[in-house]
Amino acid sequence: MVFSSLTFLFAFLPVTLIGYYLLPKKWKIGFLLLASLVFYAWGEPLYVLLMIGSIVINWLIGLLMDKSERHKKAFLVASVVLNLALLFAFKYTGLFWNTVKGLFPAPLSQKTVSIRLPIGISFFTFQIMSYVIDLYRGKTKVQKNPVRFGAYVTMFPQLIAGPIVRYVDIEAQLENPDLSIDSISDGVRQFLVGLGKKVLIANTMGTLFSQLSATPTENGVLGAWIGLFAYSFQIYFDFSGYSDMACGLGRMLGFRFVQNFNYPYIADSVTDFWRRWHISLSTWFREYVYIPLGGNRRGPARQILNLMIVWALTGLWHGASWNFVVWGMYYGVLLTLEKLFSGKVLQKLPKVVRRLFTFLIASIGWGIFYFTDFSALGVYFGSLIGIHNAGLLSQVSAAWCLGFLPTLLLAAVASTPLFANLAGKLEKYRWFAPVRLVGCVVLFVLCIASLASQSYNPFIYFRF
Amino acid sequence: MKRNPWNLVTVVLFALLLLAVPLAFLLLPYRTFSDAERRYLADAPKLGEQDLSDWSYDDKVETFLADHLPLRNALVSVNAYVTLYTGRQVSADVYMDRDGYLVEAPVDFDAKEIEMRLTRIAKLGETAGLTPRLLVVPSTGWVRNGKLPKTLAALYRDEKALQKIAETQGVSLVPIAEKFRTEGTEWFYRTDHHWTADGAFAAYEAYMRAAGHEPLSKDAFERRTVDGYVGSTRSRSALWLTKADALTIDAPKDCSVTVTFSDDDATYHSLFFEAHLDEYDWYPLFLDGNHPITVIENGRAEEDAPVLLLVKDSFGNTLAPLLVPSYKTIVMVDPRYSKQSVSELAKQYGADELLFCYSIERIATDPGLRLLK
Repeated sequence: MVFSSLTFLFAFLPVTLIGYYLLPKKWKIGFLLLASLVFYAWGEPLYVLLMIGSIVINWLIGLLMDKSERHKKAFLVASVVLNLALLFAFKYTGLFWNTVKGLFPAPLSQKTVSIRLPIGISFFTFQIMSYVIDLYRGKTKVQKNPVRFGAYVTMFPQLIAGPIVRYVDIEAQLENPDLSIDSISDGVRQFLVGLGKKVLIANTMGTLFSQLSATPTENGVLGAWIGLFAYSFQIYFDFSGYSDMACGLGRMLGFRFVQNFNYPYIADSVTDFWRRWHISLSTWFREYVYIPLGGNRRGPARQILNLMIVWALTGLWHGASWNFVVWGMYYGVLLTLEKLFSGKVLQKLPKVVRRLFTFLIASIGWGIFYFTDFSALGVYFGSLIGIHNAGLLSQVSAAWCLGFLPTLLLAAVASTPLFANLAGKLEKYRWFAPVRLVGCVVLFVLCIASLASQSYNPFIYFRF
Repeated sequence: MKRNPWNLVTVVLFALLLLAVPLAFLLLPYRTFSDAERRYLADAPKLGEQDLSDWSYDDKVETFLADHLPLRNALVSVNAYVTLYTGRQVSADVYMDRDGYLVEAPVDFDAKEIEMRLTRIAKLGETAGLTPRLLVVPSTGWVRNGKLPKTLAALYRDEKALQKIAETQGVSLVPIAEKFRTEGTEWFYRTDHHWTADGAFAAYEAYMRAAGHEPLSKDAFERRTVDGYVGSTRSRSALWLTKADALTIDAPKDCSVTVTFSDDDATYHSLFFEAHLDEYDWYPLFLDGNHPITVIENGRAEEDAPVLLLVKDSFGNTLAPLLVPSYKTIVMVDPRYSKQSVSELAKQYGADELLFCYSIERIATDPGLRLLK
């Protein structure tokens, strides 16, 4: 179930919130666990068992680690191996098999392997690992209550698309969720903003990009670039919108998750970009991979190696396809270059140039990210430099790009903190709160209107 | 800390919105059919019938909820107007031009597809020993090109398809496109893709001259209008604020006809089926809409009056009543519904003329024309 669906908004959410608010405090977490399992099972009625199994085993390992100091490390290793094995089996078997088959075609069967990916497995596996590793390091106490542990892993706001909440960040809140009106109303607003980002901006940008990416040889150079930027906005508003909805729902339930995006498209360097994009993931990789590998403490050569490992893994985490690895390595190389020398050169340029340059780099990255097929990637990137001789902008692309220009501009402005800063300045006026409320209602209606239209499908063929 | 009272209002209002929709869904009468979309709405999916290994229950529930969402038509319309006024018309199926006409988005003419259909038509003419004449109705967007924003106007390429048809050996294109473009900007409905009585009349005159007959004057027909007509483009666009049209009807004066349909045993004595004016869709007023084969016998025809075989889409339904006084028999075939050989029909009825009346979109896309024989 996704948040931007009518099923979620008008069936799951009201029932869950009513139950959660009405039940006495000691039942709340248990109810949340139950609701989250229903949320997951709604889309994955079989894989929910896999997730429950994973939770139970890791919870038991946690108990054992707590009991036996001597075998702590062995239990940690067992847990990490198990979690990664699950992730590998369900996410990467197909990629691994098809790659090996491609390298050694003769002796191997040509059967293709395809295992459907359990939704959110990359997220909940990482959450579980953060608990076990922090427990080993003594950074957190053991969670003896399986319901609380289960609720932490499955909590529906962050279950299928993050943010990746670390156990240490939420441990205390599990005991004592903040259900004040102020917190809930903040949550409502954040949720609606996220819904608007997803439904009104990301989906619209997606429409433009799917039009332009369907005819890569005909768009013209400008059309190709606008398409790439549209995709950059689509992925940002989609993902950050989803994170906002998750954080908003978290607030409604009394939990505060970490901020996952901090206006990445105003970043003025690649390093800065990754401090602002999917923060919970970069934090996870830094905390549990980069620093344990030695980080920057073992000399520059080792640091570069560590960076490359971390970024290859970060890429692979995003999907079981080699283009994601290329995308990760692209950032590994860029970050290394930036650390070694280009960073210093860039610092001399005006800030606006640095920002535009960083956005350009990120957009090219999204191109690599989007095309899982390398020849399609080549065709599209070729259109960016005009190898298809389609001119600057075809007639069809012109109609689409001009038509979507207002939304593109809105997306560009909404990628900056302008609206948030403005709201911060206006907050002191008495008229602001009611105006903002009206804005929220309008936003909600527009989102529902857009969702309702997706199935609007007049059948008029017989009239022609 | 001072509490902001609006936070409470926000929470209460959100709660009401979340509850109002499911409550309205449960309390309002359950609809099974949508007039606006002219289709049956999705049934409630049953959990028991679902296959765990091929799970799609969640999608089915979502479709069901979207179909039965309270105020659905109003919400769809809100979205349509947002799309229109944020400039994103190009992504819609129907554009609104400067005069508020709803115009179908252009069809991408595939030269091969057109050629394939034209070859079929030419071959059919050869078999039947008749020259197929093509009356191709240009698209509203092409005719009203000056009324559309420039970027959208540029997407209508009717002249390309018409050129192709004009150059094809073995078929004869009836010249109407230019007349429509210069004089016919009002010859389509605002809310429907069809031509008005004026548009049909201009096409009638052009065909009669092309076939070597003298067309009757407008006096030979009685003009009638019925207000409140709402057509297909308004349904498709969901731009519900678009003003309704007046349906225009030209009925031949003193005529006596016998109308029979291949899929109906009854015999009728009128070209117009008034009962359809009580339904959501009025266009079947003309010859009861589309049937596989419709035969119109003109009781007042002269003995040597010709027989016309009319292969058509729905545009033919408004053209045929104008042709009735000049022909002994008109046999209408709609290849989307009729699999019968058109050349055999021509023989069976002793057809003297063969006319194809189609909108340009249908010429390019109708699957029935590809199978023509």
